[in-house]
Amino acid sequence: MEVVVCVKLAYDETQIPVEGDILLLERAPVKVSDIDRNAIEEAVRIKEKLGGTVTAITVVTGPYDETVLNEAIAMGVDRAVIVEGLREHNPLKTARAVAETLRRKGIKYDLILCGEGSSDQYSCAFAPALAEYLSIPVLTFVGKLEVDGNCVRAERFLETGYERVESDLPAIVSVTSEINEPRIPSVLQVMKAGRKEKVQVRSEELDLTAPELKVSEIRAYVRERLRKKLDGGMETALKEILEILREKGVIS
Amino acid sequence: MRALLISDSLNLPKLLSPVSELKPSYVEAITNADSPVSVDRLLILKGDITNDCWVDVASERAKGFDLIALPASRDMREVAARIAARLGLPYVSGVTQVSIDDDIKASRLCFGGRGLELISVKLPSVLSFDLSAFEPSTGSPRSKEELGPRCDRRMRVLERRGKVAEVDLSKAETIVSVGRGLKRKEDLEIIRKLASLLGAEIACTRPISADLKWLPEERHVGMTGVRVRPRLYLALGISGQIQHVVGFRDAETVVSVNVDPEAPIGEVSDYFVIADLYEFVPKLIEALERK
Repeated sequence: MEVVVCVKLAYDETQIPVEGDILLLERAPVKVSDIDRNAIEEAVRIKEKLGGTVTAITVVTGPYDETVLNEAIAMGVDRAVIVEGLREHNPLKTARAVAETLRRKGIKYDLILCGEGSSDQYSCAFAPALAEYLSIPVLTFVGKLEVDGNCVRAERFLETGYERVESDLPAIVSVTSEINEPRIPSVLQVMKAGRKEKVQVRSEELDLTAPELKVSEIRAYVRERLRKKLDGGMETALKEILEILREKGVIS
Repeated sequence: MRALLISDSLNLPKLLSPVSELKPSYVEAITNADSPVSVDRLLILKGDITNDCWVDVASERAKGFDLIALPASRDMREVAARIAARLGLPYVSGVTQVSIDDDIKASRLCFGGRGLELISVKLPSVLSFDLSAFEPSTGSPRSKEELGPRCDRRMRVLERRGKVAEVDLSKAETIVSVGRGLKRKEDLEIIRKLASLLGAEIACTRPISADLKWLPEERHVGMTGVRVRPRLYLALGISGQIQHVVGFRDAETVVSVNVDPEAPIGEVSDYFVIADLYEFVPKLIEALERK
C-alpha cells in the first residue's frame, strides 16, 4: 500500500503573541498542524498493517522548520517531499502544487491522507480540491477508516450525524482528530528522522495555475474583557457572582 | 450581480441573509427539499443526493453566475472547494462578513480564532459562509422546479445515522460550560444542578465531547464546534485554549472559575474566580437554593 500523507507546518496559534491588534507571527513557534498528526498516525498504522511506504508531502506556504518536519517524519514516514517557493495561503494552489508534484516526480499513491483542516486557516479545502485535480474520489471528515483490498470504507463525522461510505482506491481521505491518538516519537527517533530521504521541489518547476486570492490584512481578533480577578476568598467571590447573576437577569 | 446558492434546505434561509446584503439582481438556489426562501428560482434536487451529486449539479449550473455561496458546514465545505477547483474559481471559506465594490471583500477567522483575515477576490468566486451570526431570511420563491439529477458517484453512501440534536446552543441566553477541570463524568450531575438553578444550557470544551464523550458534540463550544452569544457565559474548570475561546467571544459577560491563577481563561473573562470548581460550584448551588 503506497500512502501519501500531506502535512502542513503552521504557527502555533496557541502561542502567538498579540500587541494591540497585531499578531506577532514571527515570534510564534512552528508546529505540525494538529490534525495532520492524526493523518500521519493513520498512514503509519496502515503501513504497519498492510506493508508499503509512507511518503509525506509538505508545501511550504508559511513558516518552515526542519526540526518540526523531522518530528513528523519520526512518527514513521519513509521519505519526505518538500515543495518550496510559494508564499500564499490558498488551499487550491497548494492542492495544485501537490497534484503536480505527484505527477512530475512519479510518486505512486493508493491512498492520500490529510487532516480535515489546518490549525491556522481551517479551510478544509485542500483534500476536495486535490481530488478534483487528480480526478479521484474524496472522503472528507473521516473519523474511522478501514482499507479492504482495493476499497476504503469510512465513517464520516458530520454535524448532523454519521455517514458510512466506501470508495475505490486510489482515493483521498481527510481525517478528523477522533480517528486515533497520534504517537509521540522519541528524541532518538527525531534525530534519526533527519537522515531520512528528503526530496526538494521548487514551485517554479511546477505548473501552478490556480485562482488567486489576495489576503489584504491579518489582525488580532480581540474582544476587550474586564479581566477582574476575584481572589478575595470564597465568600466574597460568591457574593460578587450572585450580584453579577442578578445584574444580568439570570436570577431575580 | 447574479448569485447561486447551494445549500441543504435547513441552512438555506440563513445563507440568504449575507447574500441579500450584497444586493444581487438575480438569485437562484439549489437545495434538497422545499425551503421558505425568497429567491428568483428554487431548484429542488430529488433522490439520494451525495456530495458528488451536489458538485456535479452545481458545477453544471454555475455558468453565468458571479457569486456561488454555500454554508460552511462540513459537507458544503467539501462541495464548495470542489466546485471552485473544477471551475477554476477562487474560493474563500468560513466567511463571517462580506462586502462588494469591484471585488468581493470577505473576512474570516484564522489561527484558531485568534486572528481575523481580510481577503479580496475577483468575481466570479465561490464563498462558504459561517452562518453562526446570521438570522434566517424567509419568504417564498418566485419559481420552483424539481430535478432528479444523474450523477457520477465516486463515493458510495452505505448508511446514514442521524444524531438527534438536543439543543441549539447558539440561541441560549445563559450557558454553564465545563472543561477538563471536571474530573469524572458523574460530576456532571452538580453542573446539571447548577445549570437548572440558573435556567442555563450546558456546554463544554472539545475534549469533553470529542475525546471523553461525556456530552454530545452539539454542546461543544469552539472553533470546530458551536459559536455562542449568550448574555452570560460561566466557564468552569476551563483553561482557556484559543480554539475554545473563539466559541464564546461574542458573549456579553464571561465569568470563569479556575483553580490555576495563571490559566489563560483569566485574560478572556470579565470576572475570574480563582477557586476549585469542586468547592465553588456546591457553594454557589447552596447560595442559590437558599434564596
